[in-house]
Amino acid sequence: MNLNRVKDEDKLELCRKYYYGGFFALPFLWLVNVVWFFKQAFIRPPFEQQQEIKSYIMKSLVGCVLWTAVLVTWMTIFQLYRAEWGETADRMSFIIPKGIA
Amino acid sequence: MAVSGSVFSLLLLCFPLCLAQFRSVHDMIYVNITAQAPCVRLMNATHQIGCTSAVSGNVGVLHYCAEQSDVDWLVRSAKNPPYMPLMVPPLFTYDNVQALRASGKVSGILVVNGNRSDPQPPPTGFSPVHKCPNDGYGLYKDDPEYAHCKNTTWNPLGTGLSYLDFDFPISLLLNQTDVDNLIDCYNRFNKYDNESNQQYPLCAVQIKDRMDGAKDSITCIRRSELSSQSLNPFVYCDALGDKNVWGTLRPLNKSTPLDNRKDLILASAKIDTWSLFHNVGGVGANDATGFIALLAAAEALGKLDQAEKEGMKDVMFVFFQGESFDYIGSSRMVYDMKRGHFPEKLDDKVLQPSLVNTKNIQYYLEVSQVGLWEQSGLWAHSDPVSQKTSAVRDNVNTIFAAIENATESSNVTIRKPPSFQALPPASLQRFLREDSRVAGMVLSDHMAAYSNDYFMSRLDLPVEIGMDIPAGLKPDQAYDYTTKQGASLTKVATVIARTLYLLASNKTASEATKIEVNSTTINHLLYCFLQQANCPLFAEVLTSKSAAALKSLPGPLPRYVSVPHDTASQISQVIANVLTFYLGERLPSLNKSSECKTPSKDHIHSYIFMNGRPVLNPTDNTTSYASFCIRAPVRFSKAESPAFLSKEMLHSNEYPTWTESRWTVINAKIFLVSSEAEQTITLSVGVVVLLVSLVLVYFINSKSEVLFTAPEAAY
Amino acid sequence: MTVKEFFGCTFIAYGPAFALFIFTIAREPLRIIILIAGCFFWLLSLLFSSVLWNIVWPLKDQLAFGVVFSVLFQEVFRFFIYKLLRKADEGLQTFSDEPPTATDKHMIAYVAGLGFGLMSGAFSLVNVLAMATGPGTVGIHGDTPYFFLTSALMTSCFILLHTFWNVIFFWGCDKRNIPAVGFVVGFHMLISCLTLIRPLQPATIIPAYCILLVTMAIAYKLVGGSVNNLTAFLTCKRAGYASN
Repeated sequence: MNLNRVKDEDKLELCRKYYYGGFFALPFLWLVNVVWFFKQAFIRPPFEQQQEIKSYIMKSLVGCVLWTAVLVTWMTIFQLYRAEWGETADRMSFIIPKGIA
Repeated sequence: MAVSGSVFSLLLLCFPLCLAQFRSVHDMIYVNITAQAPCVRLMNATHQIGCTSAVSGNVGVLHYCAEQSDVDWLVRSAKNPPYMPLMVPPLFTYDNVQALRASGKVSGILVVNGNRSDPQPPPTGFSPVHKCPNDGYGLYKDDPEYAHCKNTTWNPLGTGLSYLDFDFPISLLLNQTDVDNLIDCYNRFNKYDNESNQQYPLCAVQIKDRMDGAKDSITCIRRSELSSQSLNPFVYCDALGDKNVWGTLRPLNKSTPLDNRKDLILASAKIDTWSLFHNVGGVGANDATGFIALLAAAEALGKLDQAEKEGMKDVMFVFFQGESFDYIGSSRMVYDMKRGHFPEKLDDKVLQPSLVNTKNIQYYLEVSQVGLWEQSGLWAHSDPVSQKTSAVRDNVNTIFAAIENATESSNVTIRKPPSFQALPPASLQRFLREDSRVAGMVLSDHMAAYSNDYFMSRLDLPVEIGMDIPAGLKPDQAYDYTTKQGASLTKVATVIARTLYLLASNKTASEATKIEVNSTTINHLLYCFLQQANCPLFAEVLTSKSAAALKSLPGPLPRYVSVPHDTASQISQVIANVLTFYLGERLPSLNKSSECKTPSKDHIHSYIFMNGRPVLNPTDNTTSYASFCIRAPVRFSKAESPAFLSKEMLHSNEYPTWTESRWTVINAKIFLVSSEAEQTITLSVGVVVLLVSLVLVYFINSKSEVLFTAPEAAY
Repeated sequence: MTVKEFFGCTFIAYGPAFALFIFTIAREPLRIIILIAGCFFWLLSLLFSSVLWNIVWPLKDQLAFGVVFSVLFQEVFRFFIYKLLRKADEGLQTFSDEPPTATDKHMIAYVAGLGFGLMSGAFSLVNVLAMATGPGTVGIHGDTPYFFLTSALMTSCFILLHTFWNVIFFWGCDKRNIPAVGFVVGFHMLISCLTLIRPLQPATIIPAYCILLVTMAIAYKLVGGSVNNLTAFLTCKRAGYASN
């Protein structure tokens, strides 16, 4: 979709939909939201809906960063302690590595 | 015309230049190693032992270690790690391996197999198992006096090399051509100068034998179970186990149950052995003397006539599997006996032997390593703890008296070690652990420390126990040749046979002298089990299908316990057939293989249609076989550790918990490696070429009007 | 660890062709189509060569036989694509945005030649590159340890040669100039037979690159270049549009 051919109200609608969509455990949707509407929110000269789009973008960015932090933390902990956790880790895992503890 | 002429002249020109041979790139780079026996990963309840490679294999620069100085050079001065030393047998010792491992420069070890008739072992002996074998799973687990071999160190040369956990592969090269290729490659490419510099490209080896199981048996069994419920079931390891072979002189029948009467003489020996390297055949020679002597004794007793057998107590011969791994076979048998499941649970619908319990064993005679008895005589060990009970002591004395009587007319010396000395590692220990009233003795060729300098190693070869078959003999002659070991083992087997006869019947020593073990039997058994499985005895006692498969065997059968399958392993099958041959009665009425099958309702006997001796038909020069049907009260019993029957037992530390990891590929190749510098140069050149071409083409493209003037004249 | 060698050889072999593709072909859909057509025709020639190799099974082990007939098949298919492209000339013109010029004929020849060369390069080196990712390098049987490097350089040479040969070939066919066509076929055969000298000696690189320079010069001349243009280009670069 080429944003240039979309009316401003529709742009706001789209941004809003992506923002709400991200709450369903879809942080990537938030990331897409930020990247896609960045130009609209911050670079383009002000237009009517820009404030609202800006707020949605900021909130999406915050959400995205939070999710990334949580996921990275969990992945690090799991990778470091999976071997120590023994049975619990095996029950959590979908693919158990071969040849190592 | 000129063109075609020039083309053809070019063709003529290039044919002499065409030294083209059709070789793939892979063959230009790699030389495969054809046969190897790797050290594999085994696990018990708490540890993993053995070796593994990385997922994509371990690569190391080859270094031929023919002298100790080569090993020292590698540890101290080598400059291009990682290395993969190729070691000759005298140098493959615990100290060298630990030094190489500690240096961090080694990514694998290759070991030359050496000549079977001139193995050149390390001069101080080589035993890679512990000094106290099967400690913790025998009788003296918690005993304050005898635990952990406090009293006697049975295997003082033991280093525990097999029980270490290596993160690199160690492999035995079975084919001498591979070794020659390696040494040749090393001589051409890997020489070093006085400053230990080596010039690239260097000869290197890659070994791939990634083991899938890890950590310990509990983990890998749990993971296998968890994954069995998923979409991609994957088994990480298998419990070690096989089948024990047991047979009786007279069939046991549940119609005349043994109840709790002490009516049975039990004679046992262990079948299996272990070396650091996986499934190597023809090793553990001294270990094998035990069951060979017992088989020969079974033959001698089997020849007694039926009336005499009826007048004796029944003798049960048991051949245990898995004893090298904390007594897998005997612990399972005792477990089954305790729960009333041995030989099998009673079922009204079938003909079954009577239940046997440890209470039914009046005398227990175990034959351990007896090959080297001529060094210090034959020894009969017994357990001091259980002999504190007078009844047990009396029975043990009876056994010893019988042995003494049996040795009367032979020149075998039999003695007892000091009375405070414990039992050596033996299956009898598991029986006593469950039932301290079993009266038993263990025959061996050592008083305290083993006489065997190569216990549980690949270097425990026939030549070390005096199987001195001259080199030039043809197979038929070697088969019949009486070696020093053959002569000496015949005497021991005769003693065993007479002892069992005396214990089972109430005859005197002079009456027992009619029992003689034939030296041909011993020669044949020694040859077939330790030199070459493709021998006339095996060909005679196996079924025709198995006998045909024998012909493709290159050497003796391996006796590693391995993992269970539906049928018993090859070695157990062979021993069962040989025992059937010795104890059984022929059934001439059943002369077709389709008729000679064990009836489904008969769980007492085994019917085997044996292939028989070859008969040369003089008229048309074909070979047929004098096949025959034989049946004997010889059966298999499960030799799988009870620990795997339930989770509690797996954690209980009562029973052996050994498992063997699974693997997918095992291969190794030889090739050259280039230096890091050269590879980096290639990469840099590539990057430079790419960048330069990008820049050049960009400028050519943007200035194309300047470079290419359009032709004014139209065409 | 010789992933480094893999990338090094890939860049050496396909770098120039990749650069040519990015800057001259990637943005023009028509040229991409012609490039693919060139690739396809080389594949056809390979198909026929393989069929022949399979049929004549007694000579399967004689690489020379396979190479010679492969070269002949490649030249035959070069001729076929020439015919095809000249026939399709009018049709291609209707799709193009620009008015037809005389350089178009050479452009088509160049693009088709690059396609030819790319496919030939792909097939000749991919198998070798796959082996390059393994831990070993060539040499245990006495072959040269520079095998990968030499193969990559030869491949690069061949890709460029195919490009220039195509230009010369098409010009020769247009002008009914048989020596030009003969030149292409003859030198193709010569260089292919040079590669037969196994183990692939690094020394074969030098004649190959010499022939490449000669062919490049000839093609440049045919396409409308001259020494003057060359000097103008070079001085222009250095002086930064000072002289024009």
